[in-house]
Amino acid sequence: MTEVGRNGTDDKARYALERARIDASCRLPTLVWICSGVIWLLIGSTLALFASIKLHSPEWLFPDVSWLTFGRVRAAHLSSVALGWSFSMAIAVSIWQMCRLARCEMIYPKMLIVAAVIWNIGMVVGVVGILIGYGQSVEWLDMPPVVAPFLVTGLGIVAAWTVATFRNRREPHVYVTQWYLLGAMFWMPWLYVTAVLVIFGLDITLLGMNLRFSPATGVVQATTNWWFNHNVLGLWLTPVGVGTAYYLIPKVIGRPVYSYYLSVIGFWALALFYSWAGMHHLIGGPIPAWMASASIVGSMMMLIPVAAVALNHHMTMRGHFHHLRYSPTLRFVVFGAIAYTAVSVQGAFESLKSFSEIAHFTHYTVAHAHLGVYGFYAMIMFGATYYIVPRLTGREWASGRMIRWHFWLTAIGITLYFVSLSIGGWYQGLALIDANIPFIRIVRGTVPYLMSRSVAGILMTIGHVIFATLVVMNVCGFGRSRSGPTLFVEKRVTSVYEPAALSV
Amino acid sequence: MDRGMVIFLGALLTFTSSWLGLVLLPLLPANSTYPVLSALRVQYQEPFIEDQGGVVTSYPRPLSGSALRGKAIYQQNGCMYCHSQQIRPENFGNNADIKRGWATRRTVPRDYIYDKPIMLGTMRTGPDLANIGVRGYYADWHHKHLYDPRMMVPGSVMPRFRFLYEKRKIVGEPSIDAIELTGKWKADLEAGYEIVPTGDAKDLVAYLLSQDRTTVALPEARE
Amino acid sequence: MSAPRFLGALTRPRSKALRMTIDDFIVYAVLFGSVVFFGGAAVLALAWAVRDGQFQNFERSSRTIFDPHEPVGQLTDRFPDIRRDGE
Repeated sequence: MTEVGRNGTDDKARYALERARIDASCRLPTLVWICSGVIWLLIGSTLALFASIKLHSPEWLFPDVSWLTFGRVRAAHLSSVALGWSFSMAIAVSIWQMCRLARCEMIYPKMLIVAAVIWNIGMVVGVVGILIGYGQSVEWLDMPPVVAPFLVTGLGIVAAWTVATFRNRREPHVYVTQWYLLGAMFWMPWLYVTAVLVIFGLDITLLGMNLRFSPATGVVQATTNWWFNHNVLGLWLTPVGVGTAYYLIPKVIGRPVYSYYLSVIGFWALALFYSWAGMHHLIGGPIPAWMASASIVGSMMMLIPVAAVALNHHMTMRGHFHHLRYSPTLRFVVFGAIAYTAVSVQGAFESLKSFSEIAHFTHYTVAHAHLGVYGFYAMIMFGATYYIVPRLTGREWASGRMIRWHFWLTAIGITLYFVSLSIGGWYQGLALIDANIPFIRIVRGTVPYLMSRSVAGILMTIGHVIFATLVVMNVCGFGRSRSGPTLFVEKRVTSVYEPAALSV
Repeated sequence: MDRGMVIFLGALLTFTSSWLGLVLLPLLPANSTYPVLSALRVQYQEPFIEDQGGVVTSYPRPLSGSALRGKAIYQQNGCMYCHSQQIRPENFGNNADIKRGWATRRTVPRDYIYDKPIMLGTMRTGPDLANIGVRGYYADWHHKHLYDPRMMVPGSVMPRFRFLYEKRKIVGEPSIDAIELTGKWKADLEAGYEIVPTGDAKDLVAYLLSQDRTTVALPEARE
Repeated sequence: MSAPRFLGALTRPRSKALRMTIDDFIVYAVLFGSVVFFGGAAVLALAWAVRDGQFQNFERSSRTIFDPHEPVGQLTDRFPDIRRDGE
C-alpha cells in the first residue's frame, strides 16, 4: 500500500508534495464555504442573543420593532445556524476531505463556488424574508418556499461534485469518512426535495403547462416535517460530524482507528435506524400510534451505532489524551465526539414515554437540541477549521492564546447552556403536568434558567467573534508561514543507507 | 465497502424504508380501495358529520374571511414557537392538559384536516391554544393582551404586539374599537388619544376566537 | 391475585381497544414483511461482501490515511505557540 522505496525521504517528499497540491487545489472553494459559514455563524449568534434575551426580558432590545419579536427572531436564528452555518461548514469540510481521501486534486472548483453563491442568495432572501414577516412556521423550513430552488441547486451541485470526485479517485480503498460523506450527500438532497414538495407543494406554470402538486394536508404535514428535521440531524449533520471525527482524530494523533469493523457496524446501523426516529418529536400528539411506536424503537436502536462510534473513538484516543494539550483540532473534535455520545444516549431515552411526558414542550428539549447541533456538530466544525485552513493558506494561526480563549469560552458556554436549560426545563416539565400549578408561575420559574442561557450565549458569541477574527487574520495573511512541504520532511536517520536531508 | 455501488445501494435501501413508511404511505388517500391504507387514516379524512334531529354538525370547518387572514398573522409572527395547539391524551402527564382546562378531550388527526399550515407547536413557553376560542377569553381581552401581555398577565414574557395597534387622536366620539387600557398603561396614554386595533389585529383575534377542537366530541377521541 | 379474580380476568369480556381489527393486522403484516425484506437484503449483502473477500485484512483500510510523510505515530497538529520539541 504505502511503498517504502530505497530512498525513504524521496517517498516522504512525494507524498508531502502530493498532499500540498491537493490542499492547494482545494483552497478557494473550501475557503469560500468556510467564510460563508463564519458569516452565518456571526449572524446566527446575534439573532440567538436577541432571541434568548427577549425570552426573559421582552421589554428590552426594541420591543416594538416587529421584525425583532421573539417568534421571528427565533425562526431566523434557526435558519441562520442550521442552514447557513451548519450546511456551509458541512460542505467545506466534506469537499476538502473528499479530495484528501480520494488523493486527487479538486475537480470543477468553480462549480463549488457557483454553488456557494447560489446557496447564499437563497439564504439571504430566506432569513430576511422570515424577519420581515414571510416566515412559514414550519420548523427548519421557515424560509419562504421561493428560496427552495436556490438551496436545491446549490446542494445538488455539491452532491453531484461529490459523486464525480469519488469516481475520479486515485485511492482504491474507501475510508470510513467517505462512506459517511457519500451517504450524507445522497440523503440530504432527497430529504430536502421531499420535504419541500410534500409540505409546500408545487404550483408553477412552465412553457404554458401548469404543474400542480397537491401537498400534504392535516397532520401529515407535521409528520413529514419532523421526518425531515430529524433526518437533517441524523443523516446529514451526524455523518458529516462523525465522519470528520473519524478522519481528524486518527490523523492528528497518528494512530489508526481502533476497530474498522466497528465503524462498519456504526455506519449501517445509523443508516437503518435513524430515519425511523423522527416521530418522537410528536409523541403524545395527534399522530397514529404506530408512528410513535416505530419512532421509539428507532430511537432506542440508535444506541447500537452510537455505542460503536463512542467505543471506536475512545479506544483510538486511549493513551493519547495528553495530546489534547498540544492540538486545538483535537480538543474541539474530542469534545464534540463526547457530546455526540451524550446527546445520542440522552435522545434515545428521551423518546420513552415516561421521559417524554415530562420533557416534551419544555426548554429541556432546547438544551438537548443545542448539545447536539452545537456541543457535537459545531465544536467538530471548529476543530476541522483549525486543521484545514492552515493547510490551505500555508499559514499558521496568528495566536495560540486566542484559540484557547475560543475553546474555553465555547466549551464552558455550551456546558452552562445545557446544564441550566436542562434543569430549568425539567422543573418546567414537572410543573406542567401538575394542573394545580398556575401557568404563569411555571413561566416565572424558568426565567433564572433562561437568564443563565443568555449568559452562556454571550460567552459562546464572544468565542465566535474570536474564531472569526482568527479566520480573517489567517486568510488575510497574518501568521507565521507553515513550513513548506519540502522543508517539512524530518531529518530522520533510520538506516545507514538513507541520505540525511533532501536537497531542494 | 470499497465499492461505491455498495454504499449507494445500501444508503438507498435503508433510507427508502423510512421514506416509504413515514412519508409516502401516509400521503395516500384513506378512502382508496386498499383496506390497508384506511388503517393509516391520516390524509384526506372526511369531516365528522352528525345529524341530531335536523341539527347537522359538520366538524371541522375550514376557516374563512377574517379568521383565515388572522391565521396568516399567527403564522408570520411565529406564535407557534411558544404556543402549542395539541392536547395530549389522558394517560400523558397525569391528564394535566385536560385538568388545566385546556380541553375536554385529546386532539386527533381529524381535528387538523383543514389546517394549512398545521402549527402543532413543540414548545409551551406559553399555554396551549388548541381551544383558546372556547375558554372564556373574549375579543377585548385578546386585544389588551396582544397590546401588552403584561397588562393582563403580570410577569408574562410574551412579546408585545403594539405594532398591530394604532395610537390616534380621538376625533369627536371615541371609536367603539378602542381598547381600554388599565393601570400604568392608561396613565402613560396622553389625554385625547386612543388605541385602536388595525385590521391585522382584528384578524388575529378572529383566528384565536375560532380555535375550538373540543366542543365536538369525535368518536375516535374517546379512549 | 386470588383465584376468582384471576379467572375473572381471563373470562371478562375484552374491551374494544384490545381487539385487533383487520386494518391493524394488515399494517402489522406490512411492517413485519418490510423488516423481513429489508433485513434479509442486508443479511444477503453482508454474506456477499464476506464471500467477496472484502473483510479479509479489513483493518488495512484504516491505515490509508497515513503515508511516509505523515506516518503512524506522528502528530500532525499543534498550537502555533508550542515549539516542536518534546512530545
